[in-house]
Amino acid sequence: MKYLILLIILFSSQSVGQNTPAEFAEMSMQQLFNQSIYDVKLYNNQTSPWSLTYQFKTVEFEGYLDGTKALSFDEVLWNGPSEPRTAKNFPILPTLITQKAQIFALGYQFSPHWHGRISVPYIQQRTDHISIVGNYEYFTIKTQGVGDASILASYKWFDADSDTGVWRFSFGLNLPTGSIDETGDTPREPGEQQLPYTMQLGSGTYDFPFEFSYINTGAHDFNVGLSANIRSGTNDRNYRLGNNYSLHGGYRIDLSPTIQTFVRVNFMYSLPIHGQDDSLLVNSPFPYPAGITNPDLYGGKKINVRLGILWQIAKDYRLSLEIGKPVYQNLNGPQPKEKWQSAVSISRVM
Amino acid sequence: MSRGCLISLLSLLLCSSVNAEHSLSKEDKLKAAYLFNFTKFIEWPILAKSERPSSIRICVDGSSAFFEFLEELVANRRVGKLQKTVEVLSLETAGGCELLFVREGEKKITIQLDHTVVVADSVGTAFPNGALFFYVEQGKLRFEIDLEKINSLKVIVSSELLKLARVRS
Repeated sequence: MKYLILLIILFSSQSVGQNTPAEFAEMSMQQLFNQSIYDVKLYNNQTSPWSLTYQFKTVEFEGYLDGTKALSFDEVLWNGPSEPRTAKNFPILPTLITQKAQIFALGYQFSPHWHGRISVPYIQQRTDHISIVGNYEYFTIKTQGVGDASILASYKWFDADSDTGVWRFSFGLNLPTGSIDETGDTPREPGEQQLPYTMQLGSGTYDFPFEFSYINTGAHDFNVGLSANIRSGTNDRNYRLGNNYSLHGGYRIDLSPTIQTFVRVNFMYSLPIHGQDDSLLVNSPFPYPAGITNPDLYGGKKINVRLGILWQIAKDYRLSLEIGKPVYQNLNGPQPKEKWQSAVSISRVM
Repeated sequence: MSRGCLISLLSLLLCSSVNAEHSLSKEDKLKAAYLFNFTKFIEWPILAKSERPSSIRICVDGSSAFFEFLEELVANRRVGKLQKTVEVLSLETAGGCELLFVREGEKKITIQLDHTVVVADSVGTAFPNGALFFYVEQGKLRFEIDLEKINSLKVIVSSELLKLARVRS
């Protein structure tokens, strides 16, 4: 990581400055006419090429879905020999999963077209369970630590004579810096054991995120895009998380020169986990003690709607608040369903 | 993550290190660029040799950051048929100017304004000799022109500039 930061600093000395007096002097009358005065939404208006962002994200899962059908805890919890055990009921049942991530990101605008970003998340996870195992009727498992670091480069195409539209292509690499060896006390056996996939902090694989999007900043400020996170190989525990694909769109409205509100709609398609961590299994005809230990019970389709606000609180500071809720979920289930998510971020141009 | 590391990152996020150029808003930078562009589209009357300035002088009644930005913006640039250099002068020290940018309507001006095109910071700047006025429309910087006033200055305004201006009624 430190070499990457050094590399960015090295590049910064050769970068093209933005918003310099010379650049403004080169603008034609028509170009000036088309420029927005707002620092908040232009792609070419930062006062410094460096930016620092802190983001706090929360997502909560509660309840179960099999496809689009809602299941009660009673339907997913296997209540012992009095009822038949199937591939869709389990003696241990997560009831509430809360994931929080604090993401620290450092960005650098190499030129009006190229932008780089390194981010590192710090993750805190908590899962409440019920089970039919004695002394574990109700129990909670927590994990926390650094997640997978991400390096992302973006290239923008735009017409310098107009600030009405930008095409952006982003690509990068997610590094397996997050632990996949988190352990805890579960009813599976006495003492500390390997925790399920949801409680791990990283993927354990090198992943390749990319995104292609169009951002319109004219009279109608909207964006549409396609993104994916492609996983590669398998990790040390013989699995890889499923690829994610997303189609998203958003619309922003100016409430004032410094405040905008936005709505975003995101259609996501995720694949199940490929491979399996055998240490999560029990020696039984039904080897999965909980749904979250079965790699096939991951992935599905979701449509999320998010509402938010962007506020340029000071010249170099920008605050973003958003809250989202799935309006459609079709999950490979039984699987915990997403209840809501939120994000707060503050970014500073240095 | 250690608490020290977290504190360092947050300190970096919050610490302030803004220099003069960076303290200007984008709106002010655009105003500076407009002022420079106005010198390309306005022709001032040719005066007697003794009164003829060697450059186009823009007098600025503004913040020092604005002054410095505009000074850098016009540096080594030539405009007009005569390819004159453009000079930025402080209103307090200028002996005369072709373009005057004022932010305050009640600013006391001691220099002669015979052929000076006065550009006001906003339509609300009630400067008595204002000929051009900046205003914001749908998040974009525009300008208004007082035709009567500008005609009285005996300057020639390019039709290209007039096409973009809103005419003051």
